[in-house]
Amino acid sequence: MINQTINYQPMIARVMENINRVIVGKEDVTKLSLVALLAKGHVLLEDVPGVGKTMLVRALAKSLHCSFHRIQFTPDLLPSDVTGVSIYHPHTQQFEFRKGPIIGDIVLADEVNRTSPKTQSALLEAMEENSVTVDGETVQIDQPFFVMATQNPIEYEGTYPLPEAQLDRFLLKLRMGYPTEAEEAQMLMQMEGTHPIEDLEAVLEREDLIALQKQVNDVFIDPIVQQYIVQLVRQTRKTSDVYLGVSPRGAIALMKAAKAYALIHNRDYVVPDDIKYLAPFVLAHRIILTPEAKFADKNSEQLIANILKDIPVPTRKEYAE
Amino acid sequence: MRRKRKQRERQKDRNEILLGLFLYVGSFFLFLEWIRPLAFIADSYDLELYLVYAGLCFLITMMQRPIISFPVKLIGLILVLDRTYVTATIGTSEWFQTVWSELSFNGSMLMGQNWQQLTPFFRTLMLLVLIWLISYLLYFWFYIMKRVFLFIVATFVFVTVMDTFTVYEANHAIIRMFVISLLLFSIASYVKRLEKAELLPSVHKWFEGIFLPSVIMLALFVFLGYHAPKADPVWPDPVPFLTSAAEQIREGSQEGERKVGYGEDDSILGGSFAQDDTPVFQAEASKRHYWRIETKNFYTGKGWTRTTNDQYHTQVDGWLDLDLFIWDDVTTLDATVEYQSDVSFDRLVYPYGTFFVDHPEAYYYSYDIDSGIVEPEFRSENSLYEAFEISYDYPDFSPDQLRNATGDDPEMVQFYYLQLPDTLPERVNDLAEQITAGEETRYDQVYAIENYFSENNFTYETTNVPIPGEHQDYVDQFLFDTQAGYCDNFSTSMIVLLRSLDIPARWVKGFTGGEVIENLSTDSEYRYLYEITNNNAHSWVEVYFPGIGWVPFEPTIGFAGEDVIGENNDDQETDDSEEPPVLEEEEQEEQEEREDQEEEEAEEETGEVMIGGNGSFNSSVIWMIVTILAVGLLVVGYLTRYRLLKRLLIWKFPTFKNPKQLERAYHYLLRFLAVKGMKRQRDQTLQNFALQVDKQLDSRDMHELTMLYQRVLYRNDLAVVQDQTLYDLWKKIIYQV
Repeated sequence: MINQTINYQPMIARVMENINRVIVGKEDVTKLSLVALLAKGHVLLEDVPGVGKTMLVRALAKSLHCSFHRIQFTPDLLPSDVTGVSIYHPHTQQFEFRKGPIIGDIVLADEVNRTSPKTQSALLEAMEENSVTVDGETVQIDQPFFVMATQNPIEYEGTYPLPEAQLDRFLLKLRMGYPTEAEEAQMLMQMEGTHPIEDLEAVLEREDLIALQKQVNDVFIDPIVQQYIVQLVRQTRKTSDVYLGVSPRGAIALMKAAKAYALIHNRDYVVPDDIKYLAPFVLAHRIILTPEAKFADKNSEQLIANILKDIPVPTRKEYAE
Repeated sequence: MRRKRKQRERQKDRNEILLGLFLYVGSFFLFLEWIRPLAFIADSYDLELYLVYAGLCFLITMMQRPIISFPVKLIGLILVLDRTYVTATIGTSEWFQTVWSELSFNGSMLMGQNWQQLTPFFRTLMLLVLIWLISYLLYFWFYIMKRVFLFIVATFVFVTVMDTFTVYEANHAIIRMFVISLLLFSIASYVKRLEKAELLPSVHKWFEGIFLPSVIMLALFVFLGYHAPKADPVWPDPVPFLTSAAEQIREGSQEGERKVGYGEDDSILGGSFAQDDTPVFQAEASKRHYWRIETKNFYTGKGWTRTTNDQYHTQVDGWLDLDLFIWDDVTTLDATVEYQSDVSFDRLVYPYGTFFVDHPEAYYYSYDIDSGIVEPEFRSENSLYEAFEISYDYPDFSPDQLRNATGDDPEMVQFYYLQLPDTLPERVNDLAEQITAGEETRYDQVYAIENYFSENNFTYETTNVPIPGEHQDYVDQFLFDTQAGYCDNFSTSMIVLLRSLDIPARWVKGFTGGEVIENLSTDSEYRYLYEITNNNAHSWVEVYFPGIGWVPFEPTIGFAGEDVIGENNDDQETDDSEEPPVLEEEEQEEQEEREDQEEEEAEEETGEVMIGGNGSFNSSVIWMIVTILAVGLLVVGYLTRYRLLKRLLIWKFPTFKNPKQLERAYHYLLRFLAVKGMKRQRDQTLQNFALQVDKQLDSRDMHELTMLYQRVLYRNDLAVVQDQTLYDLWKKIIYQV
């Protein structure tokens, strides 16, 4: 059960508010990032440069009083540049492990598709295992551990697209999108003085965040809502346009995300609205379309939208009389 | 605080139920006012049975036991039908056969839209089903919706129409209806205010503060109103106006069409007639006869109706036992009758003494002894126009034997055929005494009265014959004021005079013998073809003689009457052998002499033609009314369907006891919204839909309700179910939509 004595809503609201002071008009992305953070998942952010990806992650880190690391992925980046290396220390005459940038609270992995698969794999492994292994030594990465990877969709020259199987490691795949005209104007106004990020202060302690992460597990989900998730996921495997549907891991991810989303809305139970809202972000990148569907200009988001239309929302259940 | 409120709610509910039941009982008494006139204007109605059945339906509905409701009502319906129409013992195979054949026959008639062919059995069935349905409908209107106005207005309209256009007198009904209606209004308005929570829910206070004063006031007003002098109506009676309008239409069309409005039944006799020599039928016979169609027994003071119970016997082979007389000295004759193609009635005409008819196109024949109506069930619509054969025993009564007919009249005969209205002036009886002074036997008395008119300067007249005024008696007017009239005047007066002397008599309608249009005589027998036109329509008298039966008499001046009694002067025994042709010619001449008179008399008969089709007209009026009523109720039901639905929903869910009920109630609300154009798509979440609804209703109620419902559904938080706000929101939205 959720500890009813603590009201999480104000905390989360404060975080959101804080971030929105820096990032104008991207409440959805902010919220979804929080969902991933609370559900102990990671986010793949796909968008053109300059729309505020870095700023978002930095604001998040600052608001939560967390450490912030940034890894700029380049073709010549080595796995050890990510995970860290053991260096021979002349004084102690021992190898000493130097933590790579991945070991941190909130990590921005910028342009992951520009680096070699080997390096990508090191990142993804760390995300999956919550640990890195260097020279046979395993180093645990403590919670909170949140990776926000970005990739640029327009530059395909010299990139190594992430393998589909590995996309599965991201809880959510998001797009920032450009701000609206009003938002952009507001942004300019904000930038006139000092950058607002400089003044940003932490509104939540690490401990609070960890407590919140724990609470996510206690959010109630009714069997009929679980059934709804299962129906959605199974439908992705049945659709003819799909080469590979959503795995059971995807179903679990959707449930976790929904719980976190419910918590953010100060609800101790999941409603179908949560599922419907999250499904495109959780499921779309876990689907591989058939080549025919790709040629027909279909995309996964549309497909998920169609599936959501086909599956009726559960509105009644069997009660014992 | 909350408990107190709940208690108050409960109290309120109990009071509402109690008052609702009051309303429902009131509606039952109002509904009785609908059934009563039916008994008056219909000829096949057993009023008590219908009242009992209606009472049963209302009672069972009131008990709110759906499980027993249907079977009990069905059994009641079957019992009523059984008592009224089915002679076979209930439950036997014969019984089932009869019922089945009735149902299948009427089913096929319905399919073929032969409304006129529907049998009384089936029409009664429909009426009973209607009573059944209305008991439900009124339950919703009065008990659940607590709407009384519409039905009260409808009742007043119905009863006043009945009063105006039929023999039914609604004098007391109106008083009863006023009393019931005002009480209903009083209760209904209290309930309404109770619902709006304007009042403290206390039946006790209501009884003392509202109900008792209204009852006392009402009693006072009714008493005053009843005894106060009443002004004459300001508006003229609409019936003659409508009648003459209908007459004009009829004349304009120049066709022997049935006139609606004119002589719609015999309950209002009098008035002038237009002539109509449209042929009705041709008959081939060896003797000129009157042609009977039906009899009536009940004199209202203005005209005739029938109160005998129609007990239709069905006969497949055409043997009829009309139970007219018992007499040995008869001549068995036969005749062939062929209806003309524009006849408006489907009863058979037949001579006095008929025992067998053979219509080639009839499935079977229904006949009723008391009314003498013979109605074949035809194979097709045009079957009526096929020629049919009639065999009859033509009696030859001797006056002596009629004089010797002594003994008591059977109880049933006394019961039905001695009736006279209470309003009959005393002088009619005095006149009867005076006419028959010194006459010893029943026959002599009858004979004296039959001849009274011709001996006392009564004249035959078809124009300027008045319709009696409101406080006038038809017979009294004729005997003492006008002394001029046509067959209806003469025959009715004779019967009333006879009855005032306790001699059973009844009114017979049909046609006179008509004109010979062809002589078909052969060496061995006399045979003539007669043509009978609308002008030949006629009414005469039958008098009951103990041990003999019904004997026809003809009081109308200038008419020969049936030739069933030998010489009136008993010096000579009649011989029945070769007389007909001679008589025939005599009558022929006689007839020609009376041609002008006949012409006039003919005029009355246009009315009489109506009489021929009268019974069916009567019942078709009823069925029209019943249909209009049914359709009206349906229309009203349709127009108020949403309101009905709301009431029904709230009635169905007085609270939410368990999550299942809540779920059903919530989904009924969704369906109701869908009906009202706010349909939830199946992929739409409840929250999302609630926003959409709230936008339309400009509120936040649906959202709040849905949040609570979601808590039960997706959180399994069953404590929410009992939440009063949840129920109030639900009810509020239903009202709001």
